[in-house]
Amino acid sequence: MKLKYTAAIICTLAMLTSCERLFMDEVPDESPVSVFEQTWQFADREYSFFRMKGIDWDSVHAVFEPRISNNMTEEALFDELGNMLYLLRDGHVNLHSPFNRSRNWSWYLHYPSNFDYNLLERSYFKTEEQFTGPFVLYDFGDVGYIYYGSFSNNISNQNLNYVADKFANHKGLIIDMRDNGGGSLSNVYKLASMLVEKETEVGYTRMKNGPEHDNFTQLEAVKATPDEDVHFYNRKVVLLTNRLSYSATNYFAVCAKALPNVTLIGDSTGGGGGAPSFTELSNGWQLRVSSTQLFTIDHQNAEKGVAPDIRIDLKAEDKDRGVDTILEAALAHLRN
Amino acid sequence: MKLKTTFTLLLLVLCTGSTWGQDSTGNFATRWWHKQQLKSEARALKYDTYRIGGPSLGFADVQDSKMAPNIYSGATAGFHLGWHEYSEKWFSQLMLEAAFGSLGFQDNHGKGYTLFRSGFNYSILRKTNWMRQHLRLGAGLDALNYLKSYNYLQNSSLNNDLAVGIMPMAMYQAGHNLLGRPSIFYAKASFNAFSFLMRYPKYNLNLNQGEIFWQPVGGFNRVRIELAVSPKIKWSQENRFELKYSWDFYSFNEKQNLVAVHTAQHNISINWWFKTR
Repeated sequence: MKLKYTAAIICTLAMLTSCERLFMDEVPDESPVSVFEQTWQFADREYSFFRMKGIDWDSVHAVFEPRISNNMTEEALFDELGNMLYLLRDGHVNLHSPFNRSRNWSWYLHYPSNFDYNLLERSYFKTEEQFTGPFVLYDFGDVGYIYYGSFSNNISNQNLNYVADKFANHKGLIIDMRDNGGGSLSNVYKLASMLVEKETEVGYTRMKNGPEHDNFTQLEAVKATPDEDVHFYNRKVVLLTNRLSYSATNYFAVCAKALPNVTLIGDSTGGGGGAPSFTELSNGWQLRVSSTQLFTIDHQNAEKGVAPDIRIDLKAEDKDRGVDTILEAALAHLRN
Repeated sequence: MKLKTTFTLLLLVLCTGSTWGQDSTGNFATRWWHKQQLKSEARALKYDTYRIGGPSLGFADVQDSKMAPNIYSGATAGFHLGWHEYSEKWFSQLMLEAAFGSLGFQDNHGKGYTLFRSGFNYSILRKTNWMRQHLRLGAGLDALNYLKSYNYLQNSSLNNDLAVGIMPMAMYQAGHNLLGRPSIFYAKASFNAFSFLMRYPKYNLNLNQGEIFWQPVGGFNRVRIELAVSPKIKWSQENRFELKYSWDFYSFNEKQNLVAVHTAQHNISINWWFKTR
């Protein structure tokens, strides 16, 4: 009798535990058709700019579905998916495979570059620049200048206090973020903390909160907050931007645009107002799409970039003369 | 001055337990301690109570649709702490367990999918008159937290589920000899009858927003099965050694697969049962 019970228990246990995957959702296979569907569906569910950009994603599916077959190569599949995702016109939409990364970089490649670091080094710095943490710092005598090339490089309080103290008695400070493709938002808030004396509402954000294209959370205020350990910079500030000022830099430009002591000079930022969500497809490829929205203080969607207060281009002939017209405009603005 | 002297004397009385203070704190504490020991001895005669602890090794399958559609599998390691009390009719237990796992899918390991699972359970079961009183029925309060982190998914790397539920359970327990040692065998099965479930993030990136569900069985399904044998340790007449296998499965599916999570955890733990009194 005891043996019977023991056998029954062991059999039940074995049955249940060996078939646990039957209780789980079916795992999509690795076939091109399945990977295509996963890609389309993830974007359909998570992408935040269909309405704003007027993209009919169902039509995109109808166009691309016939192009996908299970006997196509990995590279051909990748190209088709890349072409499909390209239509989202978003630098935060990428498909990563072991052999390539799909991207849409038209948001800066179709525009003038408006920046040449070489020009700064040879015509302005002439080896007199300082490297202060992530900043390249230069003193024009009456105007301070820092170049910040990536928000992925962390900023410390000491870095900020050095900058604030060094240029405290200057006419102003130029923060050059041209070609800064973004990075961490914590560095955005850190840098912004130097520019505000009290907590200031600088923009709004909202997130996808459901599968429909217009499912979003309520707008949440983005606030720049002073840090008691960071010295407030109370002079005028100019922010230099170009089209390759993207993502976190775009976020910083939204903040800067709301601050009365900051002027934006150069070209519009490249945009990238949506923080990306990620997933892993069944073949191991990584997919990311924007799934939040960012708005300026006057409720303009920042996905397509933040327009400068003073629009200046850096022309080839000026570059040849060794003149950075955008930087010169910033210097003139602060000196007047 | 008067106050200072009084305070000093009072302190001396309290601290020394000298002849001055027959009822000093020292004596009171000693008496209280002896009383507790006597109570424990009496309780030990009436009940079999054990403190339980030991390491565990396991294997987990996790599928969370908010992260990816794939099933991630891998090894886990952790520990198990507990307290068991047997009386003539009742059995009660308190269990704490935690496990850390490193997972992957197919050959895609090493991208940083980790899980941290922690659980708490308090249950009470009563002997029935069926099956020669080997069967106990009861219920428990159970809390289980699953923290999943997958670095590869960057912004979307963190997901957490907390499930708190009432678990009816059945336990079959019998005594046998195993390799000449008197042993307790038991098999226990339980399921969540009604659950409170909290998931973070609610939809995608915002960890400030969680989603809460109240689910009866069918909405949130959790099953736990345990199989254990605990022979008396050779050099002890009271303490035991336990080899336990457990299988813990939970499944939740909401909003046409938008919020779908399924996990299965196999665990083998080696525990020591320390008789307490």
